[in-house]
Amino acid sequence: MSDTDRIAEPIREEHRRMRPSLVWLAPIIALGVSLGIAWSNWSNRGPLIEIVLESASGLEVGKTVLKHKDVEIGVIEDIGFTEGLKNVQASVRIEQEFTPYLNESAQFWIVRPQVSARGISGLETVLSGPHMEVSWDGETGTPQKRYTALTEAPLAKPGDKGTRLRLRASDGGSMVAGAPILYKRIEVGKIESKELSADGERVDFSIFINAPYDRLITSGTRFWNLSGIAVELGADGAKLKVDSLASLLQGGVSFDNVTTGGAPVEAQQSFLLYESEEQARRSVFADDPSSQLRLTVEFEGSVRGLQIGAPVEYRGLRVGEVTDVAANLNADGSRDRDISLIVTIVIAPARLGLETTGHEDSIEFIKRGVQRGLRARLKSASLLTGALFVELVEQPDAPIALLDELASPYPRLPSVPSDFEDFTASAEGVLNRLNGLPIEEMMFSATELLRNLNALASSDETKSVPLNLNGLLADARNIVGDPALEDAPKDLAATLTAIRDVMEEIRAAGAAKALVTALEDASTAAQAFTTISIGVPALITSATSLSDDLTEVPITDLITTATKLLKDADAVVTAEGITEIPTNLNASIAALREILEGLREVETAKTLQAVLLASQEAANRVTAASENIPGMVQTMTGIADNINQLPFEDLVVAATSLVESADGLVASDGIQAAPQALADTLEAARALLVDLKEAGAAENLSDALKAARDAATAFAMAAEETPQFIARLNNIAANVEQLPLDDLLISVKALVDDADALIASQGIQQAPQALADTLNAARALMVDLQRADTAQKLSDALVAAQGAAQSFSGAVEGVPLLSLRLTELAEKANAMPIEGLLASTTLVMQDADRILRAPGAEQIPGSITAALDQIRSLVIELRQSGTATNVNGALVSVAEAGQSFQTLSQNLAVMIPKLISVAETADSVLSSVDVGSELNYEAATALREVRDAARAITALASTVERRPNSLLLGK
Amino acid sequence: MDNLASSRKTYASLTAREAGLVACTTCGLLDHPRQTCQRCGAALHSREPLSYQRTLAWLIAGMVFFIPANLYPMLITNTFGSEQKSTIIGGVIELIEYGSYFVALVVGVASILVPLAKFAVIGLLLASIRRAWKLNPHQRLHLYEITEFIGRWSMIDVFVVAILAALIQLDFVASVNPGFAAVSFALSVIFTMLSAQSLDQRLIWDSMNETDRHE
Repeated sequence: MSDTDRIAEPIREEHRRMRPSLVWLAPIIALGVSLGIAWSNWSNRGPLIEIVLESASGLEVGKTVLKHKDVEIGVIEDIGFTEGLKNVQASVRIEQEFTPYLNESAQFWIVRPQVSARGISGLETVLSGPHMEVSWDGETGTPQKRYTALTEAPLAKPGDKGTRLRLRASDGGSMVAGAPILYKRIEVGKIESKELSADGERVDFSIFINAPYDRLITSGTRFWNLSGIAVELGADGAKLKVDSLASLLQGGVSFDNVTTGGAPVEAQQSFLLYESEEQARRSVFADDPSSQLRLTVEFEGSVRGLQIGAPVEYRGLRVGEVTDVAANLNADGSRDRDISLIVTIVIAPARLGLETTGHEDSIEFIKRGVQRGLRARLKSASLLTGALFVELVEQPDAPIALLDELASPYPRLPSVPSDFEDFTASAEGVLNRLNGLPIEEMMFSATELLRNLNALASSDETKSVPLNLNGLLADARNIVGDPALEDAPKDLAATLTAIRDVMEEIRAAGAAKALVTALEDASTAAQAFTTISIGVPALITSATSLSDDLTEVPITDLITTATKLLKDADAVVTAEGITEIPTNLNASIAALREILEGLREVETAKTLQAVLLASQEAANRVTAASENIPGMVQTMTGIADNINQLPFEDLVVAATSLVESADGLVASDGIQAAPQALADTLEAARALLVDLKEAGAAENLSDALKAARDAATAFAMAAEETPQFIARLNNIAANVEQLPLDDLLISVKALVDDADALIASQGIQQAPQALADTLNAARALMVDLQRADTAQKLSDALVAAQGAAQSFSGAVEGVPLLSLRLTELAEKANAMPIEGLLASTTLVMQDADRILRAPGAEQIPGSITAALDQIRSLVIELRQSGTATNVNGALVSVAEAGQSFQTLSQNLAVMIPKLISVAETADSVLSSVDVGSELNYEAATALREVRDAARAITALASTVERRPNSLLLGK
Repeated sequence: MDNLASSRKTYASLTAREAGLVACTTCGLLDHPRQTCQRCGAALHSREPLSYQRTLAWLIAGMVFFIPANLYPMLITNTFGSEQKSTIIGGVIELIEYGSYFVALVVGVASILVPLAKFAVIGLLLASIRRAWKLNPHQRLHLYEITEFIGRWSMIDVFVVAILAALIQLDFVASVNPGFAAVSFALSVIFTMLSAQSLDQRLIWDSMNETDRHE
């Protein structure tokens, strides 16, 4: 043990020094730390609570955490089953510090990703997996060990401030939990749940109104359903309301305070959920106990269609509504019927203008009203829906009744039978009558009509009408286009030119100067005539109507008288050996020419001088004589002016006397003295005419006139085809008459008659007919002229021209149906050189006038001159286009009528398929009609339309029957 | 080993302690007992004072921390909001489940078997010293050397956790945080290493001489 014993002494000191080392602190500290941590872990471990779930989908032990406001406060430690394996039970370790808040308000649910109409939530759990969420009200309370998790996140969390209310509805509508509660379209809450009530009668909603909006809810608040789209079809018409998209998807509830001053509500107070805002607002009648008056009414008969909520109206003003419809068994059996229908109505007396001082006052008011005749009755609100409502009417003549104040449960208002049932009877009657309508027959008739129309339109006769018309027009065109006809005016003009050449030749002869003088006198006379003739158009116009009657008048007397006059003149002439003046005029002219030639060669001057002097004197006398003629013409004008009033006998007498006056004139001294001078003159004239004859002028004239006559004859022959033309028209008419549609034929015939009458009575009558008659008259005059040889050929030509004109007129008359070709015909006729013809004719007339005014022509009666003047006036009239315009106008009118007819026939073709389609439509409509169905209204409308259509068809038929030409005229 | 055993049997050597001398553990100078080495100046102890106690104390501390190191999560992994806590054994089991047997083997050996083996070896050495068990000192020394050598590799786990925690911090997508077990494990390894270092190897040989003496 001593240090000095170094080698031998082993070192042995340490074993006894067993003082503890400081290093021992290390395990002690380690132990402490470990235990400390373990303790802290243990002590921080909260309680294990059990949460019952429906499914553990997505939950994992040790991983799935429990969160509160996204802060982790626990973790699932175990997942098991409840007893009977009904549900899943998750054991959750809650951190200690949160344990005190686990009171009974805590709600657990599992947060999963969710996409709904309200939006997307729980998106963060897509990746991390679902977690459990807890919510509580933040109050400490008694911790519970077992909770049942909600199936989904609560819409109002326990901590939210607001008021939870309940809504009752008769059906769930389209609302889902989570649907918004809107107030003035602002979301103020949500529907939390929707479940059937315990008795299955109603649907209960739990709603949560967020603070501070819950202050809006009072006892006067009414909730109504906002189911996105609301279509209301009522007596007022249809209404369509579309709310927000969210409400469209998940429904919604809106509310408003329909009455003011409601009392505040408590949580879980129950409200009624109305179907619509309107109902909600109307509900005041039912729910405001302070101002309501409940009455019962017993109705006889059916109350089908009377629904709860139906209005009660007083003179159209809504004063209340029906709250109950029930059958009531009369226990005492004192009445006739054991079961009565009791309708409970609620009335807002304020609506009646009654100050709601009290219930008794209201009853008193009703009572007095009943005494005055206030009764309740059922009335139909809408034919369409058959809905009924209760009307309060005042019927002073109603049977006396009183307000039964003792009736149970409410005072009973007497009722009167409604006129509704009468209406039903009427409606049934209407429907029966509609049923009885011979629609089948009507449709059959319409079909027949359409078929006949179709047959008419498609019949060969109708189809051949245009063909015949074409043939007719082609014939007419052939007539007009006949070279003979076209050449006739040229020939006539050539003839007249030849005549004029002769006249020129005559004038160029030595006697020209004196002849001029004589002619100037004659011109003076002619001018007088011309002056007179200014008034002639009027005269002619009058004469037109006169001439209508002239055909009936024994004008032959006049003609006879005129003939007598002419014969007298003849006699005068005959006395001088010139009886055959007209006939031999050619020879006379030839002789005259020979005479003139002779005169020119032998002592021409002296004899000519004498002749001219004599002729001048004669001309003077004629002038003097013609001075009477203006008076005559004036007289004639006056006559013509008054001709319609004058009897034609008088006219004839006057004319006769006129002619007699002419006769007197002819027989007068001057005229009597004339023959001598005329004889002289004719001596010279004959010589002159001989010259003329020798010169061949007479033959030329004669030939020219013959050619003119030939042309006229050709024209007349051409015109002879007109009867065929008319015959074809007759055939057409006959064919048309043979058409199988009597009614239509009658109509068409009447139409043709009307057209005939139109053509015959209006402008056409005044033009072609008058022209024809005028020409007839002229013809008569021409016949007289025909008596004179010189006038003969001209007369023939004119007669032929007149015949042609007549034929043309007849053709014009005979054309009842026209087309564009007729217009072409008219244009062609227009294109004819009739102007030249007329001008030439006028020249001829003038030259003839001059010839006739020449010395030796005194014998020619003034009436002839007048006739020629008349012809000239007629020509002038023709030139003034009065007649031609009328003809043209008439033709245009007829052409338009033809076009109208054409259009009509086209319209007929179009109309028939339309009518058929109408008939088909009507048929289909009728086949869809089922009187017993709910479509009564539509059926009635359809029948009314059919009836209107039938009525229109009938009106159309009767119109066509009455005025067939309306088809042509289009009115 | 056979050589050593045979040599042990052939002659019983005299220790420095029995000769009253003290060998410097730093420079190897054999000297008479004194406070410091005459040559290198290091403290001179014939046997390290309190070696047994200190070794035992560190061993206990390391063992204490080894418990939470295995009970608490080593790694707290957050991927897309889902938190996963994995303990050491849990991680090894997971690796086996995933089929990474080699990695599981490495982790399991380094993190579980090696620390446990260290505890066992050091405890055995301490017991043999205390109870003066007649065990082959050569083999014990071998055990001791192996233990001391291999002990440091146990820190791999801790380093891995530290590196992962430092690198993988991608917020929501993925983040790795060390758990309490990482600290515990590190402390456990450190304490075990300290324990191994605190053991004076000469104590192992003392039993042989005492045996000889007792015999």
